[in-house]
Amino acid sequence: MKLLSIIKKDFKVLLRSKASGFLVLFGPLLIVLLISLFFNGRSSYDLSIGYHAPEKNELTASFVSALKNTSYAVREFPDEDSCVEKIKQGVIHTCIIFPKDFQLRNENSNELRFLVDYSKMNLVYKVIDSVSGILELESKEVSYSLASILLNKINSTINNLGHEMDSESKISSDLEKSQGELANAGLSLGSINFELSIPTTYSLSNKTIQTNQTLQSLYNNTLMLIEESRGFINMLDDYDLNDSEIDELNYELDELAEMMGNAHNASFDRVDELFALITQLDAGIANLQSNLVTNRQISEDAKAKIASARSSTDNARSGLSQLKDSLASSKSSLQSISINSAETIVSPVNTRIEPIAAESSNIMFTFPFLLILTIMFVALFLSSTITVFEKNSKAVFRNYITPTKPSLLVFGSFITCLIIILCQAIIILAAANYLLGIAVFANALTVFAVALASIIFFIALGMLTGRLFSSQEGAVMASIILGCVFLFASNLVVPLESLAPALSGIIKANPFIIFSDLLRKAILFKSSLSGTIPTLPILFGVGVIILLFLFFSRRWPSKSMPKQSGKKLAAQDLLSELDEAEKNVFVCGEKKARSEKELFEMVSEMTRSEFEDNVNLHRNRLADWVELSLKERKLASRLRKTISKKQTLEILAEDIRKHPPKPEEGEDKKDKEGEKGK
Amino acid sequence: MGREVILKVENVSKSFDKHRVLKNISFEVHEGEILGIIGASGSGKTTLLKAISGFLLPEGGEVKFRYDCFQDKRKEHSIPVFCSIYSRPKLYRNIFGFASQTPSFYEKLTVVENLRYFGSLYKLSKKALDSNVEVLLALMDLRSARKSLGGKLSGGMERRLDIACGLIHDPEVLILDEPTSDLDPVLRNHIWSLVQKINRRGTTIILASHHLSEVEHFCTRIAIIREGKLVELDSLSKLKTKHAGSQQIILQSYPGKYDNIAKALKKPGGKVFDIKIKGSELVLYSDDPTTVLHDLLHTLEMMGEELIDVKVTRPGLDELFLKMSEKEHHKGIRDERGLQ
Repeated sequence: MKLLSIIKKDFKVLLRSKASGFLVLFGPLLIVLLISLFFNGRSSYDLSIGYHAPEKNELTASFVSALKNTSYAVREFPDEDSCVEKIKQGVIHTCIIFPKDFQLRNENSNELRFLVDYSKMNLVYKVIDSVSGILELESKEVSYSLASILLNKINSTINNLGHEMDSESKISSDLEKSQGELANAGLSLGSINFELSIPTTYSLSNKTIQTNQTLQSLYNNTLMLIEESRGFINMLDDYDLNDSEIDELNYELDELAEMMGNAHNASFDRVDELFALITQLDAGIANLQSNLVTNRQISEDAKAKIASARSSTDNARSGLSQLKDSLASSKSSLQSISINSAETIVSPVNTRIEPIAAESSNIMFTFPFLLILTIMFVALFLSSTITVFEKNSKAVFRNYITPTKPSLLVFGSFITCLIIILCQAIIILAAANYLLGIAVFANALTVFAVALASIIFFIALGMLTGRLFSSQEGAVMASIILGCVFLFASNLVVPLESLAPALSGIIKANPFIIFSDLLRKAILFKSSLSGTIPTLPILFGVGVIILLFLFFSRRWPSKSMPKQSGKKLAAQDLLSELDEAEKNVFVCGEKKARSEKELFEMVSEMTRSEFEDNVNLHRNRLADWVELSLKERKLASRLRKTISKKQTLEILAEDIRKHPPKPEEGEDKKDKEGEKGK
Repeated sequence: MGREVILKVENVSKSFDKHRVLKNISFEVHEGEILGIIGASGSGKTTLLKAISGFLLPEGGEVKFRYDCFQDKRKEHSIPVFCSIYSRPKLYRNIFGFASQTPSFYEKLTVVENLRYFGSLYKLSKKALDSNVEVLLALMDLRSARKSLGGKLSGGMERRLDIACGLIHDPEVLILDEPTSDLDPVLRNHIWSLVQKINRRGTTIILASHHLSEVEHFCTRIAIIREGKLVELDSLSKLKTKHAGSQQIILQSYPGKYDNIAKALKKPGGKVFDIKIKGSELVLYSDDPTTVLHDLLHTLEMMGEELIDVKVTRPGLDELFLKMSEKEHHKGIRDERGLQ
């Protein structure tokens, strides 16, 4: 079988060199093994972290301690520049700069600065994530402490509010009592009589004057009486009264008069004094009256103030009531805070990442990409290399001059690549299943379909690349570029979501992404084969179309031979070129056969050498003639299977028995032949 | 010559980028012969062979093989029927074998693997393939190298393997393009003896070579191509008779003052047509070598030349080829003058 020979030849050519054979067969497996080891390891990183803290305090120490508690190497630097320099040298991966006065205060922003080298693209985000995660954890602990303090204060406030609300009742009753007393005071003030019912001093003056006048008159009368008494004493001389007596009387009278004069004077003084007193009394009354007016006014003011005080007290009571309500509300509000855990406040939402597929290691998630990546690169390289090798081989001319369709050679190369990559894919899948514990065969049909389609697609693409390039180097470079384009324009390197929508839309059509995605779904989510529709059939179809193009576009030069006189000289039309009289004649020596029966007779009469001339290991002219002249393909095919005369005769006899010839035709031909001979 | 025509080349023309390499070439190939095609470099020998093999497509003309010849080897009574090689490529490729100027096989396959691979492309049965491989290994003296990689063979072995690959399906006609180019004389002789062996097995051989002396010795007929045209096609003896006409006397003497000898012998109306000095030899062309030889010996004695060697022969193929080329050249000049 030609195809088998071509495949065997391709395998021999590929595997002839032990090194290249090893590379072709085990290279991809080795790559997968190495990458598996890389991805199957722990998820943490061996990072070196530098920090610079201008001032050291408890907070700084807590952060540094948090960093040191990890597996990372932590180094302190005296200044920022030296820290940056070490990043540049690659000694450390990041540098954390603590701010000056790094303390928990309201006015402090406390910004920690990360200095990273973005040129290390593959690591920088991991470093940032990892280190900032640790610092955030520490920051969270600080927040937790602050939140605890805050909560304690709130609880204390709630308790205080309870006490204050109890005090409020007492205050309220005191206010009520005060209000009552104020009301009484108001009433008392209202009852004060400020009217002065003192008789007027005028009448007192008049009386005094009258009294004075009376006293004056009394004095005068007294004086007159004394005078009259004196007269009488004088007249008593006449009455023999001794003089002493008289004198004593006179003296008495004098004394009386003096006493009277003194009394008179005194009464006048007293009257004057009285008058003065009356004046003073008037002034006092006037003052009193004035004071009473003032007091009345004051009383009125006091009453107003008492009223105001009462109103204020009312307001105070009302305010106190409102305060009570407010306090009650506040207390209720504070008590209604259901989150009373500092941890909950610091981390109100705790995130827990749960894989939707069972996680064993990173390799499980990267395996689909890895497998398609391996298939892609191996297929592109191998198929393009084989195609160019076949195209540039010294043997191309010899291949051409053999009776072999060019498409068969292309197909042979394709099958060779398919077998190699399929075997590799199966080994990788088996290794993934049994060694890495990835349940690949749980959804074997879909996984195999995706893998097969990807292999066919990338082989087709590689062969097309090989067809387009004339040199091995060109084809290899093109394969590398093509593979890299597929790789870098995929979400394996940069997330598609981070790209511009238009670009992202184009890149989503990347076959590497599509196959990886399909395989990922098949392995991780056990998606069914129907879930791959229509993407997988489309890509498979594209691959098949490319292959068909490759099969039928490679033609030997003779296929484009200009048609002779507009007539196509196909193999089956060969006999039309021949003499009409001779085309159905099989000649052997002097014998001729025009029908199957005549052929049977001819063969039966053939000598051994005659038979071997026509039927041997190289060719079977009997079969050729039967096929071309008698158009009996099946019979020809059966005849070709033997070189034995006996078996040939048996086959012919059997066929004649099954399809007996029409006697007229043979006879007619014989007649015509006879006429021609004449 | 009594041999059947098995291949007809009819008015084959081929151009590469407006340059006509083959110009209406027509000839026939007889069964069992070794047809040598000679010509200067670039004359179109390889192109002609590739057109015959079907590897190159002529713009015009046709290459036909005798179909009935391969249907019945004992074709004395068959009617010759010729078919275009392009109409029956499969059969044609089974009948023809080809060994190109550059060996064509897989360098990473061993000798046996190459033979088996190409044999399998001819759909040979395992038995036939085994038999043919062993026969060819013996015939080509490649048994010792049967497990050697194609890429590690010597030049001669490469050529032999290439020819063996061309013979693996036991073709009726073997086409060889420069089978001895780039080989040393020993290897060339080896290859030529192989060609003869193959021919003796009944294989018709068409070959192109620029080693005229070798072609002269081994080919039955010789086709001379010049600038894409078939100038002559006949057996060597007939060509010599037709074109050489005169015989040549080759002389070696001491001290070898050939100019003086030539002057003495070349007289108007004399028997010597032409005199050429070829290295250490003086070649005289004449229809009457006996008379010229007599004169020559006399002249040598007169001039004090010591005779070292002298032989009388017909001109070889190289002389013939040069002569014909000169004739063609002069004819071309005359044609150009005539046109002017």
